[in-house]
Amino acid sequence: MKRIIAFFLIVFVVMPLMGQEYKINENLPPEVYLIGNGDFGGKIGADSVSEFWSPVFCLDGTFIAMPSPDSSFSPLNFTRSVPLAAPIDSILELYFKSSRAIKQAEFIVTLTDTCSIQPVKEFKFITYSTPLKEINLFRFNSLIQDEIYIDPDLTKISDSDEIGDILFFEFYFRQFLLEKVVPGRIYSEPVLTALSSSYRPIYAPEVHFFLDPASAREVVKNWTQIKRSFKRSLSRKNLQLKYELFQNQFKLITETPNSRIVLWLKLMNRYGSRKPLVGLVSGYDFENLNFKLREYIDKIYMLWFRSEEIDSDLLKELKEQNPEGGFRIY
Amino acid sequence: MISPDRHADYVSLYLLIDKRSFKSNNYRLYLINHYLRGLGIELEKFGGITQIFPLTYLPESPYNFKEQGYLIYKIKSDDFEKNQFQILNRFIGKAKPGKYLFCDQNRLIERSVNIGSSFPADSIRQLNDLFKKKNFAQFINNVTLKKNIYLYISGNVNVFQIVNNALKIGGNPAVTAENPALKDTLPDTGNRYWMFVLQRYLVGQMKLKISGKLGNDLARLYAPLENNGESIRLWIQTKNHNNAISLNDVQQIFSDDGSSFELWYRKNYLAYLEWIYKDPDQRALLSLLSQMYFGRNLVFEITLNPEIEQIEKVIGNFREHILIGEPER
Repeated sequence: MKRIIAFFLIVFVVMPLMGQEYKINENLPPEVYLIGNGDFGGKIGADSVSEFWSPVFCLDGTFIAMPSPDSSFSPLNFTRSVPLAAPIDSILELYFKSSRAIKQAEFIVTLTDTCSIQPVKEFKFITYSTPLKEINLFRFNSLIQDEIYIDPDLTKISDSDEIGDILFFEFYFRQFLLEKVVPGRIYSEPVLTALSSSYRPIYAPEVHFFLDPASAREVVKNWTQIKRSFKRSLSRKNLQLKYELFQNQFKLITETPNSRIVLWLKLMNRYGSRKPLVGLVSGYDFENLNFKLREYIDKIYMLWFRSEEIDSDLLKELKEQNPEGGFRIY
Repeated sequence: MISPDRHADYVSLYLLIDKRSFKSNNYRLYLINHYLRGLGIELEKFGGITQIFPLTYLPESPYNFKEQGYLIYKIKSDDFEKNQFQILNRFIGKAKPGKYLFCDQNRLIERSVNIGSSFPADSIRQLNDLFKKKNFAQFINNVTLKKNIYLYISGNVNVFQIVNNALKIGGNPAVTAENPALKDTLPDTGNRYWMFVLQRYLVGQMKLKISGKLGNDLARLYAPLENNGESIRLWIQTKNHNNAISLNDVQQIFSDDGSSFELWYRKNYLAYLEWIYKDPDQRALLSLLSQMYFGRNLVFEITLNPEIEQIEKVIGNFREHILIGEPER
């Protein structure tokens, strides 16, 4: 009899109490997220998964929610990216918002090895043409050093299927500038790091450089030559070597769930890409990459934030050196 | 700390620079960031990828990761094996002074006035004085001192080899390998843990108060972590001193019987802890912060289901110790 009472005690009294105790779950559930823009609704339609979602963080107007372990839990919802230096931040945000827009987005995303992207709402990504020229010069005396941002002209590269190639182009271009053009005088965060970091705003282009004013001047002044030697550098051996490095970096950065989710979310916001990360940078194809990289280098915007005066010599040099692309001073 | 995992095919190195040993906040902000960037570029040469979390003043998460300077470096285990000595040397050896400074010192002094124009003139003057007094090279040597750096290495590594190399480079670093059997119980750890949690709560609540009170004015919230387990220091720097937060505001946060804190702890904080726990990077950074603050990796060890009376006691103790004063210079 005592045994029976003890059994009932354990089943109906002790076990429910144990259930209330909060413990960190070490058996990681598959990574399922609800990602969307706009306001977080909390619960999605009965036709998909009728589950409660809790927002785990928000990044520049995009929310990421996870299935709640218990409907009474609500994780902190506070994250926000750290703005860039004062005038640059608002200009880049304005540029981002005027060059592309997402009408609506809501996905259920699983980013494990068996990756799946399930749209909840119909996704619409629109690109707009901007008044920017190839080289755009902004002057602010509040900056400590010059900064250069490079972003693809999306109206010319509209197909989001090319996202793997675009990323490789950005990777290659950054390395080219760092190693060949102004080595040792330039700082730049790796492209994939910028894309996977939650402190960096979505609207900030992932290819960016901090330079001293003399080096920046050198880069912009020789822009046409730089593009030419960029094309010349695209040899079979060089491309293969860099592609291996790129693949390696991509693999390393997508090892952890947070980086994976931020990377996916930024690609969706910036390029309208909804592809799973698995297989995004799978195959090396020399002919294709050689063709694409030559194409992309002529389809980019450069935003140059200058910390020093723009003298007439510089203007003259820019006009002489960049006859075809065009530049504008704001 | 070293946490070996033979099944992984990569190695992650996490670096935390403890900014508490440097006196001025502005000085730290610029120079630690420069140091981290330089290190990032150096490390890229061995393959792998770096992620830098520069020092900022925005206490965003309950753990305030951004209060310190962090760097994450991920590399394939083969590459790490090949270049292990050089890589460790970059982290714990002496840096080459002034090698990667992407702007010159005089320029920084000249421009700092413009950058900080939205903050009180005092802090800018202080920054300029510091730049004049010290130089970058000196600083770079300072940050490489072992006591300011916490390193966490995880993945497919050979602990013996790492310790051996570290001894060759840095003399006598304190190395701990993760082993649950080694856990001991310090008598005051519970107290420190609660101070840690309360500080997070206070920072979060103060942010809400500030944003409500100041509107569009800029403000900085300073909440340095202390490891004495007895006090929480927090102050606010605003352009207009009249807007400064008063004692009353702080007392309001703890005016109830602690039930709002308890609610926050159970429903928000613990759920956030679980979210962090799932990400190895976040977990490692938190372990480093915990190591720095408590002297051991306490945050994931402590009981997560405290008694209500215990929370009330914590709040009661805490409420008695609120002081409002001038920030230290």
